[in-house]
Amino acid sequence: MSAAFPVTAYAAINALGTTTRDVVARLHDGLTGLGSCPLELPFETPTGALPEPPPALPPSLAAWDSRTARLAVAGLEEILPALARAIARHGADRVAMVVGTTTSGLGRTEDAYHELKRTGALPQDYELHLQHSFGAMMEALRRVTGVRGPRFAVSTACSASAKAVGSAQRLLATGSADAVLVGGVDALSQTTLRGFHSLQILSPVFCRPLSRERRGINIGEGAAYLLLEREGDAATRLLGVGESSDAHHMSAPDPTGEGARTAMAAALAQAGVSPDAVDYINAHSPGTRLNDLSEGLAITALFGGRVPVASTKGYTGHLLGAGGATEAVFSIVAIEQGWIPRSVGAEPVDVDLGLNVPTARLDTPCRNVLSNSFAFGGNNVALLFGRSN
Amino acid sequence: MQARVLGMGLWMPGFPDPASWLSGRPVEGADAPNAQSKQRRRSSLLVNMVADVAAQASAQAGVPLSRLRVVVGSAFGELTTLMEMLEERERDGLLSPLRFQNSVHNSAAGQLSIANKNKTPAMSLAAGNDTVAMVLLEALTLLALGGDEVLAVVADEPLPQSIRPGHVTGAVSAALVLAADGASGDAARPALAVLEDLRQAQAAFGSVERPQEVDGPCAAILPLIAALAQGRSGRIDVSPKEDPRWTILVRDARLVRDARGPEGASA
Repeated sequence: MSAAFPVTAYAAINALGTTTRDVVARLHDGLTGLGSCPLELPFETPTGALPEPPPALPPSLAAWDSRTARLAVAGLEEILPALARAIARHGADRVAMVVGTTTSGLGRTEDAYHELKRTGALPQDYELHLQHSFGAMMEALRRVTGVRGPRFAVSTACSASAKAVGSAQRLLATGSADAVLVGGVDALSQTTLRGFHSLQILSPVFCRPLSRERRGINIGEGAAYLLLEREGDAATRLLGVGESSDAHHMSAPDPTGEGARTAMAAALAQAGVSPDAVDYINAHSPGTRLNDLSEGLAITALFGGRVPVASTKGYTGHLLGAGGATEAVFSIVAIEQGWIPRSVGAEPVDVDLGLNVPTARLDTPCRNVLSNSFAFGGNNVALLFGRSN
Repeated sequence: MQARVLGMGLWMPGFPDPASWLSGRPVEGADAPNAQSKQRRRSSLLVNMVADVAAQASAQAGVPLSRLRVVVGSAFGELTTLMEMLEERERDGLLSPLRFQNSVHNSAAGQLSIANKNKTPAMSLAAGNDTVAMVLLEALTLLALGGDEVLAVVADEPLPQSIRPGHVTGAVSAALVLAADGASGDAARPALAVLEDLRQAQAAFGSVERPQEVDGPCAAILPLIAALAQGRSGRIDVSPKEDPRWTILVRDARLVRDARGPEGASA
């Protein structure tokens, strides 16, 4: 498959801001969005919470309400006009929607179970099949967007929305859709935070990806979307998607980095782009030593130590199912605006990784940018974006 | 898009394979999926169901699980593990790390990959009532763009009664090994059927069979399993309840081959 698909619109909201403009401005200025955690927890860890809570859903969508659904709908706002144009152009049946998430309505189920244990009764408005299931968030999105083509949620943990981009590319390449709204959404939740705490990888301080002083990860929340079309004018195109499995361990990366290398090489091969032509790699690097060692080996094996490598997890926290799509937006911005963000928190850089990690913003043209997402289950995805000719 | 069905598997409580379900007689003792004993003890029902039906389909197709690309669909994911985590939180506030890492929706896909040293991509998705249809769509697009066979699996655990009172939904799981038309595979094993023309339609079709035994999104695959097992052709409904629903055309594999003219494959 050699088809390159134009990114005709994009949007992202997260700890950096509630509009794409604010998010990109803070990234440009190298300012983190991390702060104290708004959830009550029996341990300390900063999080990347939205600067203000996402607005409530309109009454017509109340049955599907959850913090994840609110984030999903709030994040759509900026991209809705472009989506409406795509629907008008292609027809609603020819527009698909693929969204990565790990939580969906998990927060609602947490609250409902807590209430059940406390009072012996579930909250009146709680319906498992409406709020909790992964399809429920998609139903809220369908009602807001009017999309009538294929619709599904991808849930491969922290690679979910990068994996969703792969599905979107296939829907376009096979002619199953003429446009795909692809994205990722995840909200902070008790289960996620307590779960990562149990794995002893949450950092008690702001996370420091790629730094030798790293102490683990911070969790964030957000939503991000790309509109991909079979044809159209756009400054940036999706050139390639590479996917692989480690077949190694549920929650630890293969220390050799083989799976990560395979995914990156597959993205390059699909696009017919050589490693030398990649100007920036947006690393997965959430802030754990194991990931940095594995990803570092994979990158140096394929690219050497020349290409700038930055992690944006120090700005937003680890956005889990929203991470791949959010960092796709950051990669597209690097191409369209000609700058690579400083890898915030990386100083002093872990020099043993052998990577070129920018600790100050690099104002430089970027033609091709690669973005990595790795996940539980040994699930690896690399996305390659490039400037349209 | 078109795919040959090389193998299939099914597990529901009492029905350890497609034949037993079609016979309508529950098999005594078939109260848990047939997974390797070490895995079975440590893993959730969802993981074990996926492992069981995947092994059935892989064996019938003659394609090893070590090289099948995998697409798993589950409307609700690891529900039992989630309930255990919610209870842990109520009890002492802290979660078991093993339980948490196995609570992700792609736990079954990941554990299948690890158990079979399979380094090909593994997908895990959910789409409510369209879960079966979207698994088929993802598998068909993967095949259409090249590469080897794809294992398409759907599975859901029973909904927990504590948070979904009054709705009894049984466990259901099924798998298909799909190959692109003309792709390699075990040449000695003829395809069960050819699937093609997955699309949304307003009206129900004559061949639609509603599964009575179980409810829930993934039970929507049962009419397709029945048609494949009985060698019937026709358009089959693969999403329950709502219009427009997703349907797929099942064709006799021999007729599809015979129908191929000098221009190549039929539509």
